[in-house]
Amino acid sequence: MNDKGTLILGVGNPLRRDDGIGLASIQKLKELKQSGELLTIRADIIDGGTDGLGLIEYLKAYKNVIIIDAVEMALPPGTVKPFTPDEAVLKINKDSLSTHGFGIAELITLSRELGIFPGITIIGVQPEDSGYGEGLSTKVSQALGIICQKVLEHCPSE
Amino acid sequence: MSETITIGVNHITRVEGHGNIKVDVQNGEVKECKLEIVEAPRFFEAMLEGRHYSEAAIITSRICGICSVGHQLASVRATEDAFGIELTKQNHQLKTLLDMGQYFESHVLHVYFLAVPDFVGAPSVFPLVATHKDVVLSALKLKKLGHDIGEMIGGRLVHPISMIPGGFTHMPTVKKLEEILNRIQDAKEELKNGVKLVSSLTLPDFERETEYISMYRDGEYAFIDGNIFSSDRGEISYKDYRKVTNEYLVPHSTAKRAKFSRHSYMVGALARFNNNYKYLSDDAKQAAEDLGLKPKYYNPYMNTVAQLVELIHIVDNSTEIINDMLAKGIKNEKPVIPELKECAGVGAVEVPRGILFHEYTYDKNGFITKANCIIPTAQNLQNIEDDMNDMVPDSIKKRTKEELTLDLEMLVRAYDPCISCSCHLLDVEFVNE
Repeated sequence: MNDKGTLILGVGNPLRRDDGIGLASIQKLKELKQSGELLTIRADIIDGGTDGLGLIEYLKAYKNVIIIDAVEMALPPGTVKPFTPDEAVLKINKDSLSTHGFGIAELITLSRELGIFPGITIIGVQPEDSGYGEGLSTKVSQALGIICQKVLEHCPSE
Repeated sequence: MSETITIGVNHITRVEGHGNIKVDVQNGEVKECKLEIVEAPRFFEAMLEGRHYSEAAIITSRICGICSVGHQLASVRATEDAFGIELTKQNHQLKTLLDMGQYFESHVLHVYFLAVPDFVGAPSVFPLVATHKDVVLSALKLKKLGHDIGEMIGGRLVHPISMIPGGFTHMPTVKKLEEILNRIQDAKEELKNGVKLVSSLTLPDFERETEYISMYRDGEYAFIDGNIFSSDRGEISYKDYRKVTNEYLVPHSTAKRAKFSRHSYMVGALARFNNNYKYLSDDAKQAAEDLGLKPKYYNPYMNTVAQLVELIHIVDNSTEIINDMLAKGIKNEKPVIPELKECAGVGAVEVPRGILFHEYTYDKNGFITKANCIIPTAQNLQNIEDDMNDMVPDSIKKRTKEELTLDLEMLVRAYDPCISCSCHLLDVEFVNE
């Protein structure tokens, strides 16, 4: 357990506009890695979709996990804010009517309670529009560069 | 309990209006008893229009994180049906394995994380860690097996990429199949513990016979291929799904409802169990007996129990398929390339929550001109409300408001509706600001 290095996990839904920022960031990081610009990064880069609890078994294999996600932080759209779960109150669905209520907050809470908690950093991005549709808003799209920079700052290099 | 009550359960406040239970009883008479759910896939049909056949399954897989594989399968099957592509035996086997992997992911989550807390009196799965840690860990292990089956067949952890209309772009290796086979055997032992756990729980005593609708294919417990079967009317061609779903609108909900022979019908594990019981594996039938479940069973709360029975069947069925593939060898079949033409097709697939339909119309260049997706939750919605309306008048005489509220929540949870599943924004407040 926890013997792999760093996992960069992008989560969200590209069909809910800015909720797709986690996946767009993963795409960008993969492109940068392939083009040789991020050769020093030692991390697995994964598109985690939206099945929160499905990711728990993967989380526990790593020492460090960087999660990129759209986060409602009551900040201006496009703001990028890295934080650890200790620095924030994660609002979890304690009484969900459906398994569809299990997301990233539930994933982090459950993994902590199970004691399989790697060092997690969340790169939160404040969305502008998470309605139905494809494509990021301009403000969130413009944050991609900063997101990648913040990921690198939190990612141990060789 | 007093004869005048109002129950309002607003569960997902972040997305107002989604997944709410409302009950209003005045002087013993039920004035209002409803479940409000917004049916998300309607928004996706418009997104599909104008898209190429090669994109449809990729887009639909994102409709929902939990039902991702199901939408992808229904999408691919609809496109294959439109272009007249027949399934080879291996293609059928790979799709069935992929579907069954999804059942593992979804049923395990539902049975262990959503239903079990109710039955052991816990408010959610989180306190279970302290009292039933072994159960939580066992569930996570079982769920991961589902994801790993998906990755083996689909080529990726979430949102598979290797299944395209006409076949698969990558095949599982013998080594991987053997590894999964071993883990499936271990899973069966874990599931036997699950059967023991669930058989010790008491479910609410409520029965209402309804029409049960599932897929049906002679000789097998149908997953990805076959016709529609109604417990009232028998077999109906999958192409005629609109005659079964008969969608209609009600004033109080944005989601369409479905009805066939009666006021409502049920889809999902209990419907499949009732309609296809004879095709369950022997061990699944034994588990059903141990759990007190026999066809025809009319208690909707038993949907959860039927899911556990299905998991045992899936272990046996996937073992059979993998053994057959290993014995015959994995053929490097290239995906069939469709001959483009104006056409239309229907994909009907049994996904964990019930029968799912996708229908696409294509223009001569392979672009979608019209799409229709009918999810299991839309089909179950009226049935859930009919259960509520049947249960509430009697229950208000015997149960407290709190007990009745929990009964209704558990009823909705038994169906595990797909509630605006496509958006999972993390919502936080910072501690020191």
